[in-house]
Amino acid sequence: MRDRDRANRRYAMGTAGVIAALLALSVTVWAFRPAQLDPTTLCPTSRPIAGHTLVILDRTDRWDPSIGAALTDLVENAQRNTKQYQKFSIVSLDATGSTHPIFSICNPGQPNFVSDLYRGRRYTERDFDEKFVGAADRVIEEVSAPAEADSSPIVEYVHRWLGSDEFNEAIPDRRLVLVSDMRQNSPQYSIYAAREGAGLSNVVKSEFGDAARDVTFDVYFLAHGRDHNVSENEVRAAWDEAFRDVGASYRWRQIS
Amino acid sequence: MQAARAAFRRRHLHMLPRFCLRRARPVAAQCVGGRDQAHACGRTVISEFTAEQLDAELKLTDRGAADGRKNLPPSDETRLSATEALIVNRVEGALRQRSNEILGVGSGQDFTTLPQDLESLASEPQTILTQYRAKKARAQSAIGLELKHAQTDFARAYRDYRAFRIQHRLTEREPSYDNVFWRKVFLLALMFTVEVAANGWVIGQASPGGLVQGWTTALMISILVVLTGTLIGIGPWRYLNYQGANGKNGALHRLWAVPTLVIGAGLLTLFAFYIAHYRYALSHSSLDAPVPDNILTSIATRPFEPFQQLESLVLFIIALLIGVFAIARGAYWDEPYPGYGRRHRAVEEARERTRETAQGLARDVDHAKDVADQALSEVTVKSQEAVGSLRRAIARTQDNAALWDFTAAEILSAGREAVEIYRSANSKQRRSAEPAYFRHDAFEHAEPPTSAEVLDTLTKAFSRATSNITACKGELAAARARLEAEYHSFYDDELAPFLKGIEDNAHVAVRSEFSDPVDLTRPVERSAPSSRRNEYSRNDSYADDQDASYAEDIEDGEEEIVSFSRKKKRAR
Repeated sequence: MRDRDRANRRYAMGTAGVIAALLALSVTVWAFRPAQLDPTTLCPTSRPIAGHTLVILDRTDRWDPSIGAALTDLVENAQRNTKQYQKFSIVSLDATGSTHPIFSICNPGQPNFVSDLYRGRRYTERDFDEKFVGAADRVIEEVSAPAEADSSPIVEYVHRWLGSDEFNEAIPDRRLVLVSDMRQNSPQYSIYAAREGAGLSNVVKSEFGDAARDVTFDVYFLAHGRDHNVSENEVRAAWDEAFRDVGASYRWRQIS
Repeated sequence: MQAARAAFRRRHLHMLPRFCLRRARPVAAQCVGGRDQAHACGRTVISEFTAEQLDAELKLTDRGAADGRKNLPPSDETRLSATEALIVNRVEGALRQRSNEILGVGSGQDFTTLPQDLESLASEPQTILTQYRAKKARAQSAIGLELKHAQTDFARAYRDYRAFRIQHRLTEREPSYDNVFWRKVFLLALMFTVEVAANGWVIGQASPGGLVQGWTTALMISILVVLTGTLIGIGPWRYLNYQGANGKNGALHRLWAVPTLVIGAGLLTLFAFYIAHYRYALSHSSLDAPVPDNILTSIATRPFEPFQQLESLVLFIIALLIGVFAIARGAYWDEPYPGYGRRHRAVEEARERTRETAQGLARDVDHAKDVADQALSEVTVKSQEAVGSLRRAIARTQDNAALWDFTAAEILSAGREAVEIYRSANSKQRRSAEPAYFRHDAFEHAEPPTSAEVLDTLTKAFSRATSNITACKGELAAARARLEAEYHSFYDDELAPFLKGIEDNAHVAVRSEFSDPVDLTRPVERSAPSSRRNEYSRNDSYADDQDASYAEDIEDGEEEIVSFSRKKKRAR
């Protein structure tokens, strides 16, 4: 009788342990559930995006077609550095002047055990490989083709993005990749008309304002061989001053 | 005068032993040299008692003079005045305090009554023994009724069980089933968990909702598989070999058991196919296609197609295996032969109840014995302590005898001087003649007991106590011997016959209960249905053959209880 009672107690505790373990596992799995994704943009719908990387391709000056491969590497690199649930957008600054992104998808993350819990592995792989990486490759092919426009409203274009819902101050970890010759040329301000880029800082300050304060700017300078007597050094000096005045961190690089 | 002196001595003799028989302190021997030494030893020392001090405190001169001016006490007065009586009281108080200090006080023990106490203590062992007997008898009578009911239940259950074995031809086979309920639940839960985890893992690899969706799907299918398998095991599987009472109804039960078993096995196979096809369809549908819902069609048209995929084949095998395990668990959840396990459990439970009750009786008797042992030990300790303290009191009195005699005389002398102070002052002031009793000593009747008298009193008390303690020891030894003998006799001679008597009575009661002819005109009083009663009556010829084994079982139970009790005795 006592042996049986002891065995009963032992197995009852074992059963309770199995049930408790299953409950604990269920609660843990539920607590670490991944965000629900929008099927089109792959961005989380149940939480804000974790950041935004915006690539602006300045197609107002025709560049050498041979630069296309470097451009592809550059964009892919930027895309690779985009973390899970961060948005990656590509826009083309061209004759149309439209700020509508050619590509704007969040990184759904590569499949792992946690993602496998709530989404089939092949679905996660499909989203990452095809909808995020593959789609961007196709877009890069399109925008790598050289084009030309009468004006280069770089400052105005960035200003419009800084004021948009997807890239405003509420978004954390903002990064802006500018692939351009950085020669601002618009009715508001033309670097060709100013002496050694004078006045650009004021224009940038008034257009960007505080919205650019936490943005990381990566400038990839496009040397297309038509500098119209405004050398790269002058352009860079003007932008150095402008970015310094708005308190933004920025790096100036060359496309090779 | 003699009477007054005797009264004074009685007061002090009564007082002294009470005070002087205080428990001796280790320092007593060193602290008997005098007042100063007593002071040094830290003992309580009363203030100096002298005539001058009394005069100062009681204002004897003033009172004497004042009384004298009023010619008080009158010349013809024969009793002491109020002031003189006050002096006498102070002297008596001083004697009492001094005796407390010198001969010892504070134990609160009255040694004059100690011999009587020891005398009454001598009768305690017998009282304790009587109490033990009463407790034992109460335990037997209290448990007897419960034990009788338990034994009757056991006899009834055993008879039912035995009849079932005979009627169903199971006498060659003992029941076999897992009687640990939670072990069965645990194994079922484990099996269920393993199946859900394995199936869910395989399904989840292909499902859009991931492993969670896979486990959810597997949970539903596992419930179906385990539930179906368990029901097959509990129901139709067990009735395949059912023979029925006296070989009847067995075939009738197989009539429903076989088709049900076939249907159940078919369902299990269908579930196994379903899960294999479901997994196959998931992995072979396009990513954006909805969840496949044409599984049954797929099973009907291409039943073995999924087996070209290892995961689906594994799922199929797992589902079938779990189904088989579930059937086995269902079949052996209880004894496989229907009704056999239930009757066996009833016998076992009644047997356990009987054993527990009998063990409860043994525990009660053991407890009564423990209480008696403890009480006897307390009596022993108490008597030894009393004699010891008496012995210590005598030693203390002997040590302080000289000091006491000196102090008592000194106090009386101080009292006399104080009275003289009062009377002198009174005589000087009064105009009338002083009372005649002024010429007599106020303490002429006062004669405090000497140390020799105190010692004599104590020694006499000790002598009587010694004789009483001898008697008490004898009573204790006899009581202990009787207690041990009765305790062992209970286990050796009383318990087994007591249990046997109850069992026999229960057996006879149950037998007569089932063998009574049925009187249809009387309402049924017994709990057993009348049909079963008749059935058992018919089987009494079989039953009688089994009585020997029944009796053996009962005796085994008794032996077990008695041997259990003996083990306890040995442990004690």
